[in-house]
Amino acid sequence: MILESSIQIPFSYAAGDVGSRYLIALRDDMQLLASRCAACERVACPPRSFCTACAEKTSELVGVGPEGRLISWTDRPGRGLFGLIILDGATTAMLHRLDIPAEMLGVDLRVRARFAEERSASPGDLEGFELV
Amino acid sequence: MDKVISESTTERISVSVPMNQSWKYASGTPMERFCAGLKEKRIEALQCEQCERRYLPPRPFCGNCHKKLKKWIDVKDEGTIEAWTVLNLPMLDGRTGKPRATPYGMALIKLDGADTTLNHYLGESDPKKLKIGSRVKAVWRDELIGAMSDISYFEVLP
Repeated sequence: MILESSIQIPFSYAAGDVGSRYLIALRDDMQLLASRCAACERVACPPRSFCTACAEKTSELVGVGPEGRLISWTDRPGRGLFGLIILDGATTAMLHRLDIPAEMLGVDLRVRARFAEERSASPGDLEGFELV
Repeated sequence: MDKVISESTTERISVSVPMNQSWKYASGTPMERFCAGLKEKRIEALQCEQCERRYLPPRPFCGNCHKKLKKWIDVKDEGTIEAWTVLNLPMLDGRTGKPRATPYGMALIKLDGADTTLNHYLGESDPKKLKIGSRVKAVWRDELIGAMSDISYFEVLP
């Protein structure tokens, strides 16, 4: 006999200072923020509190996007299309949902962020990317 | 890069990520027979033929003698509280996947005819009305499915 069980784990995490600023800007201004490293000039979106290339502490956040270019994508059966997008002004790619027909996808495709109508400073405030 | 922000924020954001964890497991043959019995409101225990210890819930081997258990015996759906607690911070209920409404009582119950205790819910959550040695009786679900949850909880007898 096979028994089945399931639980719902109520998990939440603190976004931190940089993460909070990123989510607040999404909610209030539909603005995407990136962390610009003063040492190596890496511009990471989503932003990080430290530069992942040279470990320098993040001192400023800059606005990027809302348009960008697709550099890679995949189809997750049952979950939809996901892509890596380098937003205009950023140097790192962001992973997100694509609302674009699969047959139109290609490297260097221009895409634009779509924001939720009702936003709550959560990652879902950025719903995904669509065709420019 | 029109907008540059260098001030920190005082608004702290918490990101909610509820997760669903589901799993399946093989019950083993003793639990399979035990659950089939529940479907007919029958509670069965396994007895060791060497030391005569009666196991409920049933297990494949005797914990004392390491003998394989084969002898099934009937146990009553009434018993005695051996230990109890009242939970105000709920555990996640593996049967429903959600926290149970608090407060609720739980007890280790030794059913009449068994030598080990069964961990189950109580119908009573007032600590003043619970004590070791209290008599309890199973309250069965209306529609039996052959699972431990066929017993909804144990009511404390007056």
